[in-house]
Amino acid sequence: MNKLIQWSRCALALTLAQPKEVGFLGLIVLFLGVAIYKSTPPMIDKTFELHIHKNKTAIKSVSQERDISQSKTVWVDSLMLKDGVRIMHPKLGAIGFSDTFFIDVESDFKVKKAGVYYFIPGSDDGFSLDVDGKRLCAFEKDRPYATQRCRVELDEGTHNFKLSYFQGGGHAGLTLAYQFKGDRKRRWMGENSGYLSFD
Amino acid sequence: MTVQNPLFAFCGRHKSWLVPGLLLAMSLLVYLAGIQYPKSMFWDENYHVVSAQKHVDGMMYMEPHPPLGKMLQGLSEAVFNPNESVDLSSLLKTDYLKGSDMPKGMEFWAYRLPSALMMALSVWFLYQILFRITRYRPIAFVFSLFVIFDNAMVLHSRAAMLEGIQFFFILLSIWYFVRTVTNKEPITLKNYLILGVSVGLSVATKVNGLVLSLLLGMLLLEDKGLALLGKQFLSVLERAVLGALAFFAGLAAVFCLTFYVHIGLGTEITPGKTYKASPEYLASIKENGGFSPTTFRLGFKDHLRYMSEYAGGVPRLDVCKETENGSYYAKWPFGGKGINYRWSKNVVDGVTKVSYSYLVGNPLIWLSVIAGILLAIVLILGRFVFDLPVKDERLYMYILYFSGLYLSYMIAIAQIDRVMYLYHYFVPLLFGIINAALVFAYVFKNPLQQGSRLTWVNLGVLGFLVVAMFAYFSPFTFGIPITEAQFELRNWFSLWDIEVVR
Repeated sequence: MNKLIQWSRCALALTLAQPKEVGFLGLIVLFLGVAIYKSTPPMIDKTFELHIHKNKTAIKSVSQERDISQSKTVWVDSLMLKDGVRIMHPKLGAIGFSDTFFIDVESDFKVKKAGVYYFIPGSDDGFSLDVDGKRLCAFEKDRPYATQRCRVELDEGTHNFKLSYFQGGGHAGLTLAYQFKGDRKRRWMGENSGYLSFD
Repeated sequence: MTVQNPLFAFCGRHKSWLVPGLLLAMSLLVYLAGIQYPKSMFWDENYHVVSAQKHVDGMMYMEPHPPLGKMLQGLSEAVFNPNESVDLSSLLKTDYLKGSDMPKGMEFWAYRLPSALMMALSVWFLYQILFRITRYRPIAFVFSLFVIFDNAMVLHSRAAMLEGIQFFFILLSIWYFVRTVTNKEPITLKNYLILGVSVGLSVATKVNGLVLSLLLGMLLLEDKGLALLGKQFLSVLERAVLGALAFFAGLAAVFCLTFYVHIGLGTEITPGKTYKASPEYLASIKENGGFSPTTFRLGFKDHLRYMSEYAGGVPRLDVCKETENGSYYAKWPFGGKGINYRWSKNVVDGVTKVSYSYLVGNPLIWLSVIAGILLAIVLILGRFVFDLPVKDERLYMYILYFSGLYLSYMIAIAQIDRVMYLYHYFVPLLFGIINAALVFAYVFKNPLQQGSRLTWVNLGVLGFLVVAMFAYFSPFTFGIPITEAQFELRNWFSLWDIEVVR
């Protein structure tokens, strides 16, 4: 502790004696801090594993037969993958391929409060959403970004969802939110609440 | 009695050439090593390589840029002739060589050599400029590193582009100006003439070199500043008129001579490919030969008309276009917008890696330049608005000159409607680098005089970080394969507008 106080005094004395030099050094340290921050891989919770498949041929429908040329997986913390007209994660940046690809994500989630839920998928282009193995809603073909409100009644306990999406070309975006009936607040899938958890 | 280390003693005795020599060695290594790669053309190389080859083969052609840069590229190709066994005839039939039409086995290093070599050598001028003004070798050394280790300048100048060649002439002009002013010898009309010649070399490479005409005003101010303060207006006017005449005579002589050689050498005409050449010009080539005064008079007029009409036909910036590589000038100081010159994707052991040639600046250098410009503006306003005293008149004047050059260029660029690209910022960046060094010397004038150790440490850390940043962003410069994640770690600012290839 004494050493720390001594160091602080020294730093203060140096700053008072050579303010410009210390200021310059401070700017360099600030730049270095930004550089290290920007160059550090983003830390996010691995909640959903996205399976991304590049298709060899044009995609017209989410349920069409696939002809995969390349695949990759990306872990994300929430299903809010849209920034402007691109598929973007706020921390990871751009996700997917340039065009003509599918994204599949399947995961369990825990319902803490039984009742009616709305799942609100948003997509550009098409999607399909299954809950507990049953098709809840879909938009099979391509479209500009739009959302749908899909109602389902869920008991307490563990459930499962599967979301499939395709990007044909041009603008893109994929989101999935949920809302408990009676609560006006929408939350992104991956965001824990008093209703659902994704741990 | 202390015994001095003989190595230190040697370095101390020979530092006047050892320091710039070390800079030159680093510069030559960075700019020249591996210029044969990539083995394909990118960006404007597709135009310039073709034009350079037309010089080699004596073809008549017209281009939007003055011919000096491409003449030097052609000269290099003719001297080293690495494509001796390659059929280059396809280059003569077009003004833009598509990758698919590229002759098999074609080498590009000789076309790239003038830009890379001259850019590397120009560091010597930068060092001399900074040393002559500041009189501090460490300052001159560290700020000269800015030109060696800027990723954008390195990528661009290692290619068969015009900027590296032009920077050599720009720094030559500035060096000559500074040398004339610091020589303590009376400034004569000969100095104006030689300055005009060196500026002419820059203009004969790219027309934006005309910004260096401001050096005329600066030289005049140095020459007759005291007379102006003494209200000897007649003497000042006389020198202004004669100095301007000498300067522009030198500039015009180089410009015209370059075109004279260009027109004189271009006597072969591809049928159906006569550009904007008038029938009189074409007839004169056949009847009088390329080097006749009549051919020059007619050809010079036609070439200038072609340049003017081409410039008028360049599209405007369209930020709504998805593939737009151009950018708004106000974004340039912050590095926007990066240009993906070329990329190639490879999958190794299941991992996709992409080699980029991405025009991205060294952020530390670019931010230092903008900080230097802001401080210079504050300094200048402080004197003129708040009557604050100036602690070093000479340094202050140089800061005024170089920040003035930077701002003048940016103001001029702001008036241009056609689409412009990030590398159009390289010229003011060069002025900004010199300005940043001078601002550093001005701000730390007293600590430097007192031998403040912390100031030298700061300077050393700055130099080290410049090199470290260059190394970090070098995958964009040298096409080192990187993954998507590695790309994103280098995508620091959204203003850069750079996108990973997926």
